Amino acid sequence: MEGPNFDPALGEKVRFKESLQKRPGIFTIVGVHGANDKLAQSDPLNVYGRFGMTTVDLRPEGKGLDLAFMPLDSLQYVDETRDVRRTIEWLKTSPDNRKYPDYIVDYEVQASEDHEGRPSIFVRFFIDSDYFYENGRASKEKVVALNEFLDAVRDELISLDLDRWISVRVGEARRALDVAS
Amino acid sequence: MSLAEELLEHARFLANLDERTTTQANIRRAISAAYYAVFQLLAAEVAAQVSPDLPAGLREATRRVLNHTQMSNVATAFSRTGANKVKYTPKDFVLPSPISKELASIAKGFEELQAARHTADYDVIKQHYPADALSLVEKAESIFKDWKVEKTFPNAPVFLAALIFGRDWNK
Repeated sequence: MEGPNFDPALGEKVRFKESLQKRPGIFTIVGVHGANDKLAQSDPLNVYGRFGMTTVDLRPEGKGLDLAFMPLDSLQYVDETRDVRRTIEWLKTSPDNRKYPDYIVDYEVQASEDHEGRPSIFVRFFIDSDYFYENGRASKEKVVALNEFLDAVRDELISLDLDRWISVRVGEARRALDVAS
Repeated sequence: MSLAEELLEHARFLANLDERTTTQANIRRAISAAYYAVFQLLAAEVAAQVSPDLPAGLREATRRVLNHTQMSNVATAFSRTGANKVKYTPKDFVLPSPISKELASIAKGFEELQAARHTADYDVIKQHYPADALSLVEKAESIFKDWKVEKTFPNAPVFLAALIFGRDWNK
């Protein structure tokens, strides 16, 4: 089974890493040339593509000229939570028969610092309370199953080596107001 | 019943109150008690390992030496299943065996509970959820179970020693 899709997408915001071609500011991806794109690799301007690297075309925010065929490796995404979101979207497809519980109705991902000041990613899955509780209480089996899922997600996210502390918690989707009553 | 077990029981009681009528205070105290249950479990084990029982009170006082931040850092270091060299152990020290699934789970759970305890006790803006309290209390229960297994293996004394000495071994 293939892993999460981390390919660059049109419209994503990036900035250059410190190490290479330092250019200040934020850029929007306006073109993507994959490592196997023979046509793009034949373009004389696509220096990095000739070495089999994925390159992107960038448009600066504000003034400035577009930059063509910039190596993806020299860039970082502005959205620090991007890979986490992509991984969760992948998990939602139940890869390798891994179960994504159907009572999870939403999730949120935030990049911030934890109480020790460590750069962290906070994930919260929101569950359907009507499914989870019966007469105001949840069964032990449901709580155990929920934690197995949360632990599996956390392990998957830790394996991304994001250099961020990872927290995966649970919340409850707000119940819709019963306006009829 | 030990203090750790009492705290776990207290956390369980608070987390299992009817979610339709429970309060933010109950949820927050459940999360906090779940963390302190695990903290006291490990603190008692550390003290038993490094301090004699007599004279009376010495072992109990040893628990006060433990530092939450230090314990969290050590937990991070021990959270990778299969690793046999970790930070907060003496220089060039190799663990007697690779970190087990149970020890990694204890370490990850401790970190998560400590972070949760911090927001539960101090962050008055963030809403806390009954399901989150149930999840975290169950995590604490799992740590108690996993520790029963792990404490019989040779990495356990290293982990306990790191919790109290980890910061100072390589100074």
